[in-house]
Amino acid sequence: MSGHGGRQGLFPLTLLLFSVGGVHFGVATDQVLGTTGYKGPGQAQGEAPFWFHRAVEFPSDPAYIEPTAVLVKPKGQEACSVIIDAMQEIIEVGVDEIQPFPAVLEPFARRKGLWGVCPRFGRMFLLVDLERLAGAEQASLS
Amino acid sequence: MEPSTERLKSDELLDEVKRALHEKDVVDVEEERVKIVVFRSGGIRYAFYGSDIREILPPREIFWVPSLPACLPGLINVRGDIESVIDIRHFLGGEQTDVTKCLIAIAVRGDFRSGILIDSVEDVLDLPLSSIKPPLSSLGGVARELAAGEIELGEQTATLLNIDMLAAKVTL
Repeated sequence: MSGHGGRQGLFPLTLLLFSVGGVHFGVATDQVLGTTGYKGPGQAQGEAPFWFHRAVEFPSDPAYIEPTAVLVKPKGQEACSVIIDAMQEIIEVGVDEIQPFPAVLEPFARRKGLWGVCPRFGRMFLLVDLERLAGAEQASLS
Repeated sequence: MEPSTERLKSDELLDEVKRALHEKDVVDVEEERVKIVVFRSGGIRYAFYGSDIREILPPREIFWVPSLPACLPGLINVRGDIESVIDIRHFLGGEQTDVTKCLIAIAVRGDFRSGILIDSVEDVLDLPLSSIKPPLSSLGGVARELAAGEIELGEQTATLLNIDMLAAKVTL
Protein backbone atom coordinates (compact mmCIF):
# COMPACT_ATOMS: atom_id res chain seq x y z
CA MET A 1 0.00 0.00 0.00
CA SER A 2 1.21 3.48 -0.70
CA GLY A 3 1.02 6.07 2.02
CA HIS A 4 -0.48 8.82 -0.09
CA GLY A 5 -3.75 8.77 1.82
CA GLY A 6 -5.89 9.86 -1.17
CA ARG A 7 -8.31 7.52 -2.87
CA GLN A 8 -5.95 6.85 -5.75
CA GLY A 9 -3.26 5.99 -3.22
CA LEU A 10 -5.09 2.72 -2.53
CA PHE A 11 -4.24 1.48 -6.00
CA PRO A 12 -2.78 -0.60 -7.47
CA LEU A 13 -4.46 -3.18 -5.28
CA THR A 14 -2.92 -6.58 -4.69
CA LEU A 15 -5.50 -9.35 -4.77
CA LEU A 16 -5.34 -12.97 -3.69
CA LEU A 17 -7.56 -14.92 -6.08
CA PHE A 18 -9.44 -18.04 -5.03
CA SER A 19 -12.54 -19.93 -5.98
CA VAL A 20 -15.26 -21.74 -4.10
CA GLY A 21 -17.71 -24.03 -5.86
CA GLY A 22 -16.58 -22.73 -9.26
CA VAL A 23 -17.23 -19.08 -8.33
CA HIS A 24 -14.19 -16.82 -8.45
CA PHE A 25 -13.31 -14.35 -5.73
CA GLY A 26 -10.55 -11.93 -4.85
CA VAL A 27 -9.48 -10.49 -1.52
CA ALA A 28 -7.01 -7.69 -0.86
CA THR A 29 -3.81 -9.28 0.39
CA ASP A 30 -3.45 -6.73 3.19
CA GLN A 31 -6.46 -8.39 4.84
CA VAL A 32 -4.75 -11.78 4.89
CA LEU A 33 -2.56 -12.31 7.93
CA GLY A 34 -1.62 -15.83 6.91
CA THR A 35 -2.79 -18.98 5.16
CA THR A 36 -2.52 -22.64 5.98
CA GLY A 37 -3.93 -25.82 4.52
CA TYR A 38 -7.07 -26.70 6.41
CA LYS A 39 -7.37 -30.28 7.64
CA GLY A 40 -9.83 -29.87 10.48
CA PRO A 41 -11.04 -27.53 13.23
CA GLY A 42 -7.97 -28.11 15.41
CA GLN A 43 -5.61 -26.77 12.76
CA ALA A 44 -6.98 -23.29 12.29
CA GLN A 45 -5.52 -20.33 14.16
CA GLY A 46 -7.57 -17.80 16.10
CA GLU A 47 -11.23 -18.21 16.86
CA ALA A 48 -13.31 -21.10 15.53
CA PRO A 49 -13.06 -21.11 11.73
CA PHE A 50 -16.04 -20.59 9.50
CA TRP A 51 -16.68 -21.70 5.96
CA PHE A 52 -16.65 -18.97 3.37
CA HIS A 53 -19.52 -20.43 1.34
CA ARG A 54 -21.81 -20.43 4.36
CA ALA A 55 -20.96 -16.86 5.27
CA VAL A 56 -21.81 -15.58 1.78
CA GLU A 57 -24.87 -17.84 1.55
CA PHE A 58 -24.19 -20.42 -1.13
CA PRO A 59 -27.44 -22.34 -1.63
CA SER A 60 -25.69 -25.67 -0.95
CA ASP A 61 -22.35 -26.94 0.31
CA PRO A 62 -19.86 -27.07 -2.58
CA ALA A 63 -17.10 -29.70 -2.68
CA TYR A 64 -13.81 -28.16 -1.53
CA ILE A 65 -10.78 -29.23 -3.56
CA GLU A 66 -7.99 -27.68 -1.54
CA PRO A 67 -9.46 -26.05 1.57
CA THR A 68 -7.28 -23.32 2.98
CA ALA A 69 -7.71 -21.43 6.24
CA VAL A 70 -7.12 -17.72 5.80
CA LEU A 71 -6.41 -15.79 8.99
CA VAL A 72 -8.08 -12.40 9.17
CA LYS A 73 -8.56 -9.90 11.98
CA PRO A 74 -11.70 -7.79 11.86
CA LYS A 75 -11.33 -4.37 13.43
CA GLY A 76 -11.84 -4.53 17.20
CA GLN A 77 -12.38 -8.29 17.17
CA GLU A 78 -10.36 -11.45 17.57
CA ALA A 79 -8.50 -12.92 14.62
CA CYS A 80 -10.31 -15.84 13.02
CA SER A 81 -9.93 -18.24 10.15
CA VAL A 82 -12.07 -18.24 7.05
CA ILE A 83 -11.95 -21.44 5.05
CA ILE A 84 -11.69 -20.79 1.33
CA ASP A 85 -10.79 -23.08 -1.54
CA ALA A 86 -8.51 -23.32 -4.55
CA MET A 87 -6.17 -20.39 -4.01
CA GLN A 88 -4.94 -19.39 -7.44
CA GLU A 89 -2.54 -16.51 -7.68
CA ILE A 90 -1.80 -13.01 -6.56
CA ILE A 91 -2.37 -10.22 -9.04
CA GLU A 92 -2.09 -6.46 -9.01
CA VAL A 93 -4.99 -4.44 -10.38
CA GLY A 94 -5.46 -0.76 -11.12
CA VAL A 95 -8.46 1.32 -10.15
CA ASP A 96 -9.73 1.16 -13.73
CA GLU A 97 -9.83 -2.64 -13.66
CA ILE A 98 -12.41 -2.82 -10.89
CA GLN A 99 -16.09 -1.99 -11.22
CA PRO A 100 -18.71 -1.61 -8.51
CA PHE A 101 -21.63 -4.00 -8.54
CA PRO A 102 -24.52 -2.77 -10.70
CA ALA A 103 -26.95 -0.74 -8.61
CA VAL A 104 -29.62 -3.45 -8.72
CA LEU A 105 -27.30 -6.03 -7.14
CA GLU A 106 -25.12 -3.86 -4.93
CA PRO A 107 -27.31 -3.76 -1.79
CA PHE A 108 -27.55 -7.57 -1.76
CA ALA A 109 -23.86 -8.08 -2.46
CA ARG A 110 -22.67 -5.51 0.10
CA ARG A 111 -24.56 -7.28 2.88
CA LYS A 112 -22.13 -10.16 2.47
CA GLY A 113 -18.95 -8.12 2.15
CA LEU A 114 -18.86 -8.27 -1.66
CA TRP A 115 -17.81 -4.81 -2.83
CA GLY A 116 -16.66 -4.97 -6.45
CA VAL A 117 -16.05 -6.95 -9.60
CA CYS A 118 -12.84 -7.52 -11.50
CA PRO A 119 -13.18 -9.15 -14.93
CA ARG A 120 -9.93 -10.99 -15.64
CA PHE A 121 -8.84 -14.02 -17.66
CA GLY A 122 -12.37 -14.35 -19.09
CA ARG A 123 -13.71 -14.78 -15.56
CA MET A 124 -15.53 -12.52 -13.17
CA PHE A 125 -13.75 -12.15 -9.83
CA LEU A 126 -16.05 -11.01 -7.05
CA LEU A 127 -14.08 -8.89 -4.60
CA VAL A 128 -14.79 -9.66 -0.99
CA ASP A 129 -13.94 -7.78 2.18
CA LEU A 130 -13.01 -10.74 4.39
CA GLU A 131 -12.58 -8.53 7.46
CA ARG A 132 -16.14 -7.27 7.14
CA LEU A 133 -17.45 -10.76 6.44
CA ALA A 134 -15.56 -12.27 9.35
CA GLY A 135 -16.61 -9.41 11.64
CA ALA A 136 -20.26 -9.92 10.78
CA GLU A 137 -19.91 -13.66 11.23
CA GLN A 138 -18.29 -13.27 14.64
CA ALA A 139 -20.92 -10.75 15.70
CA SER A 140 -23.71 -13.14 14.69
CA LEU A 141 -22.17 -15.91 16.83
CA SER A 142 -21.67 -13.79 19.94
CA MET B 1 -41.59 37.35 -66.82
CA GLU B 2 -43.83 39.94 -65.20
CA PRO B 3 -45.44 38.79 -61.96
CA SER B 4 -49.16 38.31 -62.43
CA THR B 5 -51.75 39.12 -59.77
CA GLU B 6 -54.12 36.60 -61.26
CA ARG B 7 -54.30 33.32 -59.34
CA LEU B 8 -53.15 30.57 -61.54
CA LYS B 9 -53.93 26.92 -61.31
CA SER B 10 -50.49 26.31 -59.87
CA ASP B 11 -51.36 28.65 -56.98
CA GLU B 12 -54.42 26.61 -56.23
CA LEU B 13 -52.47 23.38 -56.50
CA LEU B 14 -49.85 24.70 -54.11
CA ASP B 15 -52.55 25.82 -51.68
CA GLU B 16 -54.05 22.36 -51.80
CA VAL B 17 -50.68 20.74 -51.16
CA LYS B 18 -50.00 23.02 -48.18
CA ARG B 19 -53.46 22.42 -46.77
CA ALA B 20 -52.98 18.67 -47.00
CA LEU B 21 -49.57 18.95 -45.37
CA HIS B 22 -51.01 21.00 -42.51
CA GLU B 23 -53.81 18.48 -41.97
CA LYS B 24 -51.25 15.68 -41.86
CA ASP B 25 -49.29 17.62 -39.23
CA VAL B 26 -52.43 18.06 -37.19
CA VAL B 27 -53.16 14.33 -37.44
CA ASP B 28 -49.61 13.50 -36.38
CA VAL B 29 -49.84 15.76 -33.33
CA GLU B 30 -53.20 14.35 -32.33
CA GLU B 31 -52.16 10.73 -32.75
CA GLU B 32 -49.10 10.30 -30.55
CA ARG B 33 -47.22 7.14 -31.32
CA VAL B 34 -44.98 4.92 -29.23
CA LYS B 35 -42.36 2.32 -30.08
CA ILE B 36 -43.04 -1.08 -28.56
CA VAL B 37 -40.74 -4.10 -28.31
CA VAL B 38 -42.80 -7.29 -28.31
CA PHE B 39 -41.05 -10.32 -26.82
CA ARG B 40 -41.69 -13.71 -25.28
CA SER B 41 -40.84 -14.71 -21.74
CA GLY B 42 -41.61 -18.15 -20.40
CA GLY B 43 -43.45 -18.80 -23.67
CA ILE B 44 -45.85 -15.88 -23.08
CA ARG B 45 -46.01 -12.66 -25.11
CA TYR B 46 -45.17 -9.36 -23.39
CA ALA B 47 -43.96 -5.93 -24.45
CA PHE B 48 -41.78 -3.10 -23.23
CA TYR B 49 -41.82 0.52 -24.32
CA GLY B 50 -39.08 0.79 -26.95
CA SER B 51 -37.73 3.88 -25.20
CA ASP B 52 -36.92 1.69 -22.16
CA ILE B 53 -34.85 -0.83 -24.12
CA ARG B 54 -31.27 0.11 -25.04
CA GLU B 55 -30.28 -3.07 -26.87
CA ILE B 56 -30.92 -6.81 -27.16
CA LEU B 57 -27.92 -9.04 -26.46
CA PRO B 58 -27.42 -12.60 -27.65
CA PRO B 59 -27.17 -15.38 -25.04
CA ARG B 60 -24.02 -15.22 -22.95
CA GLU B 61 -22.52 -16.50 -19.72
CA ILE B 62 -24.21 -15.23 -16.58
CA PHE B 63 -21.90 -15.11 -13.59
CA TRP B 64 -23.65 -16.19 -10.43
CA VAL B 65 -23.21 -14.05 -7.32
CA PRO B 66 -23.90 -15.38 -3.81
CA SER B 67 -26.59 -13.89 -1.62
CA LEU B 68 -28.81 -12.65 -4.45
CA PRO B 69 -32.54 -13.36 -4.53
CA ALA B 70 -33.84 -15.89 -7.08
CA CYS B 71 -35.01 -13.15 -9.47
CA LEU B 72 -31.40 -11.99 -9.92
CA PRO B 73 -29.35 -14.73 -11.60
CA GLY B 74 -26.14 -12.69 -11.61
CA LEU B 75 -23.86 -10.55 -13.74
CA ILE B 76 -22.96 -10.27 -17.40
CA ASN B 77 -20.03 -8.64 -19.11
CA VAL B 78 -21.14 -6.28 -21.88
CA ARG B 79 -18.10 -5.08 -23.78
CA GLY B 80 -16.21 -4.67 -20.51
CA ASP B 81 -19.09 -3.15 -18.56
CA ILE B 82 -20.70 -5.20 -15.80
CA GLU B 83 -24.50 -5.36 -15.87
CA SER B 84 -27.01 -7.04 -13.60
CA VAL B 85 -29.54 -9.55 -14.94
CA ILE B 86 -33.16 -9.94 -13.88
CA ASP B 87 -35.15 -13.10 -14.52
CA ILE B 88 -38.70 -11.76 -14.91
CA ARG B 89 -40.08 -15.29 -15.11
CA HIS B 90 -39.68 -15.25 -11.36
CA PHE B 91 -42.51 -12.70 -11.30
CA LEU B 92 -44.49 -13.60 -14.41
CA GLY B 93 -44.26 -17.38 -14.36
CA GLY B 94 -44.27 -19.42 -17.57
CA GLU B 95 -41.94 -22.09 -18.90
CA GLN B 96 -38.43 -22.15 -17.41
CA THR B 97 -35.96 -22.38 -20.27
CA ASP B 98 -32.20 -22.57 -19.78
CA VAL B 99 -30.96 -19.08 -18.84
CA THR B 100 -27.85 -19.58 -20.95
CA LYS B 101 -30.10 -19.70 -24.04
CA CYS B 102 -32.06 -16.54 -23.21
CA LEU B 103 -31.58 -13.21 -24.94
CA ILE B 104 -30.90 -10.27 -22.65
CA ALA B 105 -32.71 -6.97 -23.11
CA ILE B 106 -30.78 -4.06 -21.60
CA ALA B 107 -33.40 -1.83 -19.99
CA VAL B 108 -32.60 1.74 -18.99
CA ARG B 109 -35.09 4.07 -17.37
CA GLY B 110 -34.03 6.92 -15.11
CA ASP B 111 -31.52 5.58 -12.60
CA PHE B 112 -32.55 2.00 -13.28
CA ARG B 113 -30.38 -0.07 -15.59
CA SER B 114 -30.30 -3.85 -15.91
CA GLY B 115 -30.37 -6.76 -18.28
CA ILE B 116 -33.65 -8.67 -18.43
CA LEU B 117 -33.82 -12.28 -19.59
CA ILE B 118 -36.24 -12.88 -22.48
CA ASP B 119 -36.88 -15.88 -24.70
CA SER B 120 -37.06 -14.05 -28.03
CA VAL B 121 -37.97 -10.75 -29.67
CA GLU B 122 -41.18 -11.04 -31.68
CA ASP B 123 -41.47 -7.58 -33.18
CA VAL B 124 -40.67 -3.90 -32.83
CA LEU B 125 -43.78 -1.81 -33.55
CA ASP B 126 -44.70 1.85 -33.90
CA LEU B 127 -48.22 2.09 -32.48
CA PRO B 128 -50.65 4.91 -31.78
CA LEU B 129 -50.78 5.56 -28.05
CA SER B 130 -54.51 4.97 -28.17
CA SER B 131 -53.94 1.33 -29.08
CA ILE B 132 -52.63 0.64 -25.57
CA LYS B 133 -55.58 -0.52 -23.50
CA PRO B 134 -55.82 -0.93 -19.73
CA PRO B 135 -54.41 -4.19 -18.36
CA LEU B 136 -56.69 -7.21 -18.57
CA SER B 137 -58.73 -7.73 -15.46
CA SER B 138 -57.97 -11.44 -15.77
CA LEU B 139 -54.28 -10.78 -15.05
CA GLY B 140 -53.41 -11.86 -11.56
CA GLY B 141 -50.61 -11.73 -9.03
CA VAL B 142 -47.37 -9.93 -9.74
CA ALA B 143 -48.08 -9.81 -13.50
CA ARG B 144 -50.97 -7.49 -12.72
CA GLU B 145 -48.66 -5.23 -10.67
CA LEU B 146 -46.13 -5.05 -13.51
CA ALA B 147 -48.66 -4.44 -16.28
CA ALA B 148 -48.82 -0.96 -17.80
CA GLY B 149 -51.44 -1.99 -20.38
CA GLU B 150 -52.53 -4.43 -23.01
CA ILE B 151 -51.75 -4.29 -26.72
CA GLU B 152 -53.77 -5.97 -29.45
CA LEU B 153 -51.61 -7.66 -32.06
CA GLY B 154 -54.02 -8.95 -34.65
CA GLU B 155 -55.99 -11.69 -32.95
CA GLN B 156 -53.51 -11.91 -30.08
CA THR B 157 -52.51 -9.62 -27.25
CA ALA B 158 -49.36 -8.74 -25.35
CA THR B 159 -49.10 -7.35 -21.85
CA LEU B 160 -47.10 -4.13 -21.79
CA LEU B 161 -44.77 -4.15 -18.78
CA ASN B 162 -43.89 -1.18 -16.61
CA ILE B 163 -40.12 -1.00 -16.08
CA ASP B 164 -40.53 1.28 -13.05
CA MET B 165 -42.63 -1.35 -11.31
CA LEU B 166 -40.11 -4.05 -12.21
CA ALA B 167 -37.33 -1.89 -10.78
CA ALA B 168 -39.30 -1.48 -7.55
CA LYS B 169 -39.75 -5.26 -7.33
CA VAL B 170 -36.04 -6.01 -7.45
CA THR B 171 -34.87 -3.14 -5.28
CA LEU B 172 -33.87 -4.09 -1.77
